[in-house]
Amino acid sequence: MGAEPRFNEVIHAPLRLRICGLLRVADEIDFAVLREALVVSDVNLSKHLKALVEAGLVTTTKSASTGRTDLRRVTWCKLTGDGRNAFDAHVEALRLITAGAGLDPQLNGLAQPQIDKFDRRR
Amino acid sequence: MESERDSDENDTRVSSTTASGVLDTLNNDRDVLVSFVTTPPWLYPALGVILALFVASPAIGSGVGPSFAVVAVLALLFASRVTSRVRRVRLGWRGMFVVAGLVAVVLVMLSTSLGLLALKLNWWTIAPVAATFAATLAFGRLFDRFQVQDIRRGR
Repeated sequence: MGAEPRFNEVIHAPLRLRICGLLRVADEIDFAVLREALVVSDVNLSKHLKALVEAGLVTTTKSASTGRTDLRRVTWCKLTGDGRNAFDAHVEALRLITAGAGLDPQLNGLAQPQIDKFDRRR
Repeated sequence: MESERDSDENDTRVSSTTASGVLDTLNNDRDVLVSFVTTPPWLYPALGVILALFVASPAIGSGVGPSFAVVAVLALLFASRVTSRVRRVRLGWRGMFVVAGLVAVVLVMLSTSLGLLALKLNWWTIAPVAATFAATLAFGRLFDRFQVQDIRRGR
């Protein structure tokens, strides 16, 4: 993607990274699609989306649904410009590590043990 | 000193494995997302009918002029977007080629239709009309295939 590699502490949480990964390839995704694709509960997804929204990386909007017969509204989730940049930079950092290049911890913004949390949380 | 270096190398290997696992997970998620990216089954047939009527308009005087065709196509695309659960506007360069190719086919078929009318071969205009409908279905499928490939590649 050509971004400057940089870890982002908010994005790096496993579920948040996966949410951003899905939103990166679409303009907007229905909350229910995210929940089904990631196989997570409403509560868990809401909690992590809230963290991403508060960090300014994701926006959510509600709109009327054509697919429902009731009055419930669809929540659309979208990556912001900052979110796209942060995700690209984070993925670039992961690629660098995969390639064995390593990163300056000062630039990473994350310590090594936090990186390894991913495996335990999956 | 030697043991420190070994330890560092081990750390790098572990984090490299972890990072690789994370990237694999992101790839798998995109594969799952593809199953939610669906085009309504009516979209390309409806587009085909509109474009075919546009090509047939000189022969049948259907009133499907360029303005009507553009508005109808945009309305169909909007209706398709409203019903989708994953919205994606970006075309990608291959998608743009498909769209440009379809526009070129429609214009060539319209010219053919006008030429056949000029030669008083009115019934033969069915051929470019049918070709336009078929091309719309084919280009639509190609567009969808490229979209899926782009999603899988993270574009």
